[in-house]
This record gives sequence, structure tokens and C-alpha cells, in this order.
Amino acid sequence: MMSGGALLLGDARLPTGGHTQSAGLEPALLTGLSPASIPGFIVSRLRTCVRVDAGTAVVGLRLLYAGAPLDPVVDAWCARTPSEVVQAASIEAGRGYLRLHQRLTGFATATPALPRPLAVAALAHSWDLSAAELARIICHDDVQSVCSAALKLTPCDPVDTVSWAVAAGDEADRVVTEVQGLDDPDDIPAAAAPEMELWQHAHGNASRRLFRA
Amino acid sequence: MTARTTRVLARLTADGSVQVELATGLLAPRVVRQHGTTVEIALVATGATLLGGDHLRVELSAQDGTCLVVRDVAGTVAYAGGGRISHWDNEIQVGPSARLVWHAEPLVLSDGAQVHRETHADVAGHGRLLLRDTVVLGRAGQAGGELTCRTRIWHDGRPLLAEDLVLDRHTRALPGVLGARVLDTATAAGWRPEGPPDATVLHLAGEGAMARSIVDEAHHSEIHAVWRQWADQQCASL
Repeated sequence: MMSGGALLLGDARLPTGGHTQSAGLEPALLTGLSPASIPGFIVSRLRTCVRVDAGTAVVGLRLLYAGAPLDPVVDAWCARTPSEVVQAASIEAGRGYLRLHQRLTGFATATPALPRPLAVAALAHSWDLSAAELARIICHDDVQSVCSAALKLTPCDPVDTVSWAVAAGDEADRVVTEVQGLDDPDDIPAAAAPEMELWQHAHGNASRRLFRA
Repeated sequence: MTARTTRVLARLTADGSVQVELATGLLAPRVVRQHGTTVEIALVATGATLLGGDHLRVELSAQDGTCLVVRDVAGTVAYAGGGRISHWDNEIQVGPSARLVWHAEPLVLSDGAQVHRETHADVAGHGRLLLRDTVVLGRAGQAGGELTCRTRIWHDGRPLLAEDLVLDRHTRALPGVLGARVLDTATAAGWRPEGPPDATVLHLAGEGAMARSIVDEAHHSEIHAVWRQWADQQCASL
């Protein structure tokens, strides 16, 4: 059974600023991604950056349960996230989770800023989530960020976006299976999508944008 | 399958000159020139390579205070391997205050080629590494073979860059993975150079930078200009 904490973390109504995130869709569409390619775009992300984030979150959760510092996993995530624009956007998104966490529990990290997957992992730790639940949340949130942003960026039937999320289910399952047992920062997946990284990097200078990232 | 290892090791001697140790594998290292603490090496193919089943290994080491400049004499074509995978491993060490610049020429994947490449680099504090990496999927008129690239660069004992590229036909057809046939990259480790104003330079979180261009024709890459600027800042004595 899903825990209450897992459902809260998977819910976009959690006040952490999720509405500012398009999971890379706005930069992709601005650069010329065809709306018809959005389902493939979701799979691309699950194969690459979402695997990195889910693996990072799982290893971070294990370190938190062990009472160990997060620095090695922060370093590992940074090495897998070469663009400073993408790094900054993730840290800004992480701030929303840290702020909520701090208000709820007085949580404070030794590191003032954490990338989003580790900020989510810290809340998951407070709410006693399992590694598999956390990995599932990271996948779900990314897929749903693309789907809900698509409704704002390119007019379409909301039912279509649900069908994209359902179709990506097998790939999300593979991510969860692959990362749920990780405990070493060096083993975090490092799969990259270079074109997408350049799109997201350029978003730092985009003059007309609805979403932060 | 045993690797045929090409090895270049530069170390400082007591009188301040550079001593070079060389070993020939599928590529043969040749000293082009030597001046002060800088030594320039050319890598020359000793036969047709990269063929299916080849295991090419390159070990480069610039020790304490030396400057090692490596040039490829020509690009490398990976030929159709008849289902046999070719392996290419690079192992790079840059010692304290050492410099290593590898002016690598393009790796071209023919139709039917399958290449696994691994690059591992360790850069000590105050060492600097500059790498060029140009991958071309397909010779003229081809869609190109399959490539996986695993890159791990460490600086001062911490991970600086970790990247796995899976460029099989299915994956690179996914939106946002590659989108063109040439991926051109310059990576600086140990310092963070700025690029020309119109080039895309990613500032790594650690001391390093990566400039990247994805184009259909290699000569349109922005990285030529970036490379000239970054390489000029190294090993000034040459």
C-alpha cells in the first residue's frame, strides 16, 4: 500500500512550486520539438535525466537513513548535470521542498541548497518512505510535469496527456527496478541526452517563458 | 580479447627536462617535438583500425609539472564489425601542476559498426586536462553504427563529469537525445575557461567546463573556435 507521505509527495497540490516546472518541455518546444513528439520526449527523459534523479534520490535516502552526510551524492549528481542552468533550476525547485520541510519539522541541512531529488529524499526520509516509493515519485512527478505543462504550452485534450503518462508506465517501472537497490553514489545512472541538455541550458536566457525549467 | 595498449608517460627528470616513456599498441606514439617541460606526441595508426573485435587502449600520463600535447594524425573510422563489438578505452592521468591536451580527431561510425568507448581521467589539484571528442554517426550517406560512450572525469579526488551516452539507433531516434549526426565536445578539467561569446559552454559544478555542439556537418561545429581558444591557453611554450 502507498503511504500517506508518498501520496503527498506525488501530488502536484503539495505547496512546493511544482507549477513553475515543465520538466524541460518548454525549452524543448521553444527549440522546435513537435507536439506530436511529446510522448517520445517523456520516454527520453525517463531513459536519461529521470534515471539520474531517481538514482540520486534513492542513494540520498539511504545515506539519510544511515545518518551519513549527503556531500558525496551531491557531487555525483552535479557530475551528471553538466549545465549550470539545469543545476540552478533543480536547486531552486529543491528550495520549495526544503522550505516546506523546515516549516513542518524544523529540518535543516548542513548544505543550504539541495538539488530537487535530494530535497525530495529528505522529506521522504522524514516520512519513512521506501526507496522504491521515492523512485516512483521522482518518475511520476517528471512525467506529470511534462503532461500538465503541455496543456498550457500546446493546446490538446487533457485525456491525451493521461494516455501519454499511462504509455510511459513500463519505462517508469524499469527505472524504479533499476535504481531502488542503489546505495553507492558512483553507481547512480549517468545516462545523458545531450540535445535536451542544450535546450534546457538555453532556457536560462529565454526571454518569453512560462516555466522556470 | 586482450587490449593492445598505447602508452605515453611524461615525467620530469632531476635536471628539469621531460623524459617520455612510449609503448605501441593499435596506435603508435611518436615524439613530434620537445621543448622545456612540454612534449608533443602524435598517435599514428599501425594498421587498419577500428575493426570489429579490436580492443584499442590508450594510456596517457602527464606527471607532476609536465605538459603533454597529444595529436591524432587522422580521424578514426570504425568499420562494420559483422556483429563483433570494438572496444576503445582511454585512461588518462594528470599530475599536480601538469597539463595534458589531446587534440583528438573525429571517430566516425560506419554502418554496422558497434563501438564501446570508455574514458576515465584523473586530474590532480592544479593539474589541467583538455579533451576534444568528435563523434560522427555514419560516413557520407550512411545512418551510422552504434556507439556507447562512458566518461568519468575526476578532479582532486571528486567526480567532475560522469556521462553515459547510449547512441544506438533506437535511442538516438528519441526526441532530445541527439538530433543530428555529429556530436562535438571540448571538455576542460581543472580550470573553467570561458568560450567565444556565441558558443555554448556549460560550467560544471566543479572546476571544469564543457562546450558542446550538435550539428549535421562537422565543419559547422562551434567547437573549432572554442578549441583554438582553450588550447591556446595551455602549454604556452609550444
